[in-house]
Amino acid sequence: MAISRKDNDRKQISAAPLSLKNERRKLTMILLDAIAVTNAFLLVAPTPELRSISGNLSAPITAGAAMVLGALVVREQGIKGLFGRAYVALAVGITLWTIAEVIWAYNAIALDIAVPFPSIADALWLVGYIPFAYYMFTTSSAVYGVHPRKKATFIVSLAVAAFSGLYMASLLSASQLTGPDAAQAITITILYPVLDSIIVVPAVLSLLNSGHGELTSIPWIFISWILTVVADGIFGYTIVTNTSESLQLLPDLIYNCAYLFMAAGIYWHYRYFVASNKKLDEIWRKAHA
Amino acid sequence: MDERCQVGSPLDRLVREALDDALWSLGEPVAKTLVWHLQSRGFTFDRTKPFDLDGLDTGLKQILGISENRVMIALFKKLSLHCKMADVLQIEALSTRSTHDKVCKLLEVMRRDGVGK
Repeated sequence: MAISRKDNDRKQISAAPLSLKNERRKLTMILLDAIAVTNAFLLVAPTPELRSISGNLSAPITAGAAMVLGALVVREQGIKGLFGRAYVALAVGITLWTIAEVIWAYNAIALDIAVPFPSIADALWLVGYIPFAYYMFTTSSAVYGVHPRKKATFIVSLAVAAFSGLYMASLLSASQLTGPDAAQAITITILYPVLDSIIVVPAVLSLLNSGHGELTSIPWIFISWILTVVADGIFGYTIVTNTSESLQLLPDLIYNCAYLFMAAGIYWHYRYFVASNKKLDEIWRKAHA
Repeated sequence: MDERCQVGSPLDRLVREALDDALWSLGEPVAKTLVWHLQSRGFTFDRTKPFDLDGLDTGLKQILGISENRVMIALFKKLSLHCKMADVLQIEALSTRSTHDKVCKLLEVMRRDGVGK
């Protein structure tokens, strides 16, 4: 009985009159193109200096794109309701991170500091985790059915905690940081994986629960978060081993992907989830006449 | 359509109000988008026709996937305000049932008790 109902649902889904499959495919292609173009500048840069400049410029640009889209969503959607509040939080988070990226780029390019870490930008990145956490926990629960009392949540949390523990231990043991700022640098380097590991749990669970629903099948923003965590992990390791200058390319490439995934996710919400035009107002009025 | 889930007046008005609240809790623009998607999938908001809970469930699953459950939970919570606590607790305890089934069961109880008349 249960199987026949499931099959029935599946048939109806495939015959849905307003399939967003093509739109999803189109956005995926645009996203892949954007990732390829943005990262091509980093990969084909002839000198390490140019590669560094490209990396430092591309991050604020990609984050800025997500920030602009976030502001558009907030303008269209307002601040009420579950999605209203969640997207305000996301917009605040991405704005803080964009400012942080701009500060980093300014320090690196204008002030010629090879690796401007730690800096005021880190404060903005760290504060940004609060609104991001609000967004991640709210939407993972509402959209992807993530629940703290489910077995999958326990297993993923345990796996993330174990991996984070190992990662932080390896950071401490590999650390070659010395000097008066070393303690501060290590503390900040440790803070990132701690915060990342908290928010990556709903992101991973949402990814595991994805694939359903015309509007919700691709968890763009959660994928973006997982990519950010991977990039943070690599970047943190290069910081404590004093190899960030030579190994900056890999995290830069992943950060660009992450920001562009976030931009794609916000665009998807803006284009297909948020509706406030006259036609829809009319439909709503007719439905409630 | 499952007969238990068919809703005619006078319960109809209560269910429609509860659905409005459930959708509205997501935010106005998202609620409007969902109404549009549901209508394009054949779910009718026409008040002269009986409310089709199965159609709503299927439509929401197509649009929202797993998060359909969130709307159903909100609908259940709103409707449960019109029922006796003991009945609500008894239905909530049916852990093997989906939220859609629980709403159907709740409607059965509401019909039995003459809620909305």
